[in-house]
Amino acid sequence: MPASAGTAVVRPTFDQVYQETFAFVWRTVRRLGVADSAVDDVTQEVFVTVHRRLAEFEGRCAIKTWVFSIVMRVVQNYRRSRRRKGAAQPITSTVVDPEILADNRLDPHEQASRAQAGRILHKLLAELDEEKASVFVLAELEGMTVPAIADAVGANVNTVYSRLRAARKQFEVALERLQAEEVNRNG
Amino acid sequence: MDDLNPRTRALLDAARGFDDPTNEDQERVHSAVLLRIGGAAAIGTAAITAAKTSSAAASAAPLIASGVTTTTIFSGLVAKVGVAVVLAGAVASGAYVALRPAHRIEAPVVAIAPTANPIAEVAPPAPAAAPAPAADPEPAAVDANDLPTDDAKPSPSRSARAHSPSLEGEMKLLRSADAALRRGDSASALAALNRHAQLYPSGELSQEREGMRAIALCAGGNLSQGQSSAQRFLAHAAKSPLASRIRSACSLGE
Repeated sequence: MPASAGTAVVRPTFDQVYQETFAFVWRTVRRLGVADSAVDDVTQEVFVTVHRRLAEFEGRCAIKTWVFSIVMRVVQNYRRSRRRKGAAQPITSTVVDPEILADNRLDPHEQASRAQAGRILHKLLAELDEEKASVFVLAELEGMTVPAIADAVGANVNTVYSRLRAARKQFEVALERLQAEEVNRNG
Repeated sequence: MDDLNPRTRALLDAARGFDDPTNEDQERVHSAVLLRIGGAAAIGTAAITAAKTSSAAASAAPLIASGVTTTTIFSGLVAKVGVAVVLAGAVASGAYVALRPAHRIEAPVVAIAPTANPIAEVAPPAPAAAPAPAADPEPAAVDANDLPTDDAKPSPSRSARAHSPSLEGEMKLLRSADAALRRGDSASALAALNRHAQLYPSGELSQEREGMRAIALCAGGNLSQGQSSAQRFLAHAAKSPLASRIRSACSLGE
């Protein structure tokens, strides 16, 4: 909802923003490595911040884009607090059951159930750094355009293209490695 | 731009929907967020909407004009929920996970001490911009380091599920009454409050119910009955966070 010159910003209400973006926020929080046990808290924090800052939304980008910038900041805070705590456990609590890949090693993903594929997805996303994981999730899973992602992450378009290329490559390599490991383990 | 290889694409396609929330997730988080932001959300969005759209202005204006804001209602409600949960935790120490929402919830809105006479101890509602320090009666059941930090405050969340079913039911009805008040629909507000009285005659939030009833009656134009309700409420809860709003809505002096 771009603001045109000379007219007031038509700002959505908090409830409208919540209804429109809740599912996106929830999915993205999970995909950016927040442990299952903290997804509620982190998602709440995003919307409490949305509420506090809604008056600052000027309509220069889509609301989803604006909300993502908040998601990113809250997730970063979460990650920092985990690091301060010196968490020994992985950033994501999702653990891939070796059986999942072993059972389907001829064609791991096409045969995998959604849950199995989802767990593999989380594991591979956890191997990307925050910047790459963000652009990968927004581009490949949310279908956002690169210019919109650039707005959301506060980087220029070329940087986002570059991160996305790197993220795709790293993700694909990690998937191949995961498959190879499973084949070796069972083969 | 390079595209993903087919195996990766197949994985992403297979995983689609895996991370989607359920309706329950959406409602649970919504309730928790509303508790944390208290009435500020309601009045904030009402004010913005009123300024921007004529239909919303039409419904919000009477409420604002009558001085009935939701901020205080929720302050009282949130405070009481905090107290209720603290008391529940004190009785059933084994279930002290319930304490976490209590002190988290009240933090942005009011300061409160766990006490057998909670209403008298409730501090006046603080502006949302200047949160009052919260009482912290027990260690949190969940490590605070698991939660977002900096200006991100920890939150009730999953622990909201630890509320007793009846408390959840009570809050749902009072929220519904509050939403109706915001629309300027005092008849629907009274219907929700009557339903609450029917289901939870001595519920944890029965005092708030009677305070809201006074506001609804006065806002709906039934001033004499509203003032009677208001006086009954103020006689034993003069220091409630609802008190000043009730006086304002019902044109009662200090």
